[in-house]
Amino acid sequence: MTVIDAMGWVCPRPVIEAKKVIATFPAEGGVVKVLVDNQIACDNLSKMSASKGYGCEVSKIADRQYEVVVTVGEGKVEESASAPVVASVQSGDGLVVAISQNKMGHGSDELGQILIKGFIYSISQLEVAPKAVVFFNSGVKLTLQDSNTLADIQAMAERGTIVRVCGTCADYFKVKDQVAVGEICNMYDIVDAMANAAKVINI
Amino acid sequence: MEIVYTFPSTHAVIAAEQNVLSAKIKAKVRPIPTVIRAGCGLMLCISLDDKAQADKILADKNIPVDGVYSVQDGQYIPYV
Repeated sequence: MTVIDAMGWVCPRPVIEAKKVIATFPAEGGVVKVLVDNQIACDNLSKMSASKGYGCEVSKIADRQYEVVVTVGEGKVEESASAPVVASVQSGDGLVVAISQNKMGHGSDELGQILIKGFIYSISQLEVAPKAVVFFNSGVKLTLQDSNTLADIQAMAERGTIVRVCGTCADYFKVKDQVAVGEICNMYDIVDAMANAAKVINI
Repeated sequence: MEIVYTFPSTHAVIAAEQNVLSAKIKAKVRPIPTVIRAGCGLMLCISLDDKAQADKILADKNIPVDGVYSVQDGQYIPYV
């Protein structure tokens, strides 16, 4: 059994590291024990296990000390390869643009909403297309079917830019079924895009 | 063919976009290329097919226009 000492780690790292270990298991499966110091990490490991069909047992050893044993059955290993990290953003000279709102800057919302349109058009015109553009919080509204910025984002996607739209955020604004470009993603995908970027522009 | 309008102020661009969009004209706001004018201004782009309607809206709403250009092969040619 592999043991991961994830004490002191902040989510989602315990889950990511557990997945990495699971991905190395042979076809007959295996067991990984994760030592964590918070309940959220336990919950996230349990959720990940439930979604993948793994067994999961959480034991509280002491205050701020938990043991999570994830048991991966035969034939379940392959599923871990298609974990939440959808398509890993290539490292290299990649520029990642993180757009967290449907306007640019602070001061005037009216001005910010017109500036963001010019900004998105401008990044779509860069000589080398960004490696990825991720949209979260109200930024997801820019990707909707009736958005004025949709065509420019689609043009980037056609040039090979990975477009990721925060599913939690689209769900929050009740617009998940209106997202018209890119892939709905979770926080792992957003973090993966940022962590593998050569540089990140935050809007 | 695409037509672009430039305006003397940011407020004029915002007003132009809002009025043209509410008339269901497909319009896009883009930064003004430096070949037209240096600075950080924005311009409004529409299809030539919508120009007559857009002109009427801008005139009716008293929105001042700086210049009108047609875009041909990436070149901005003053529209007359």
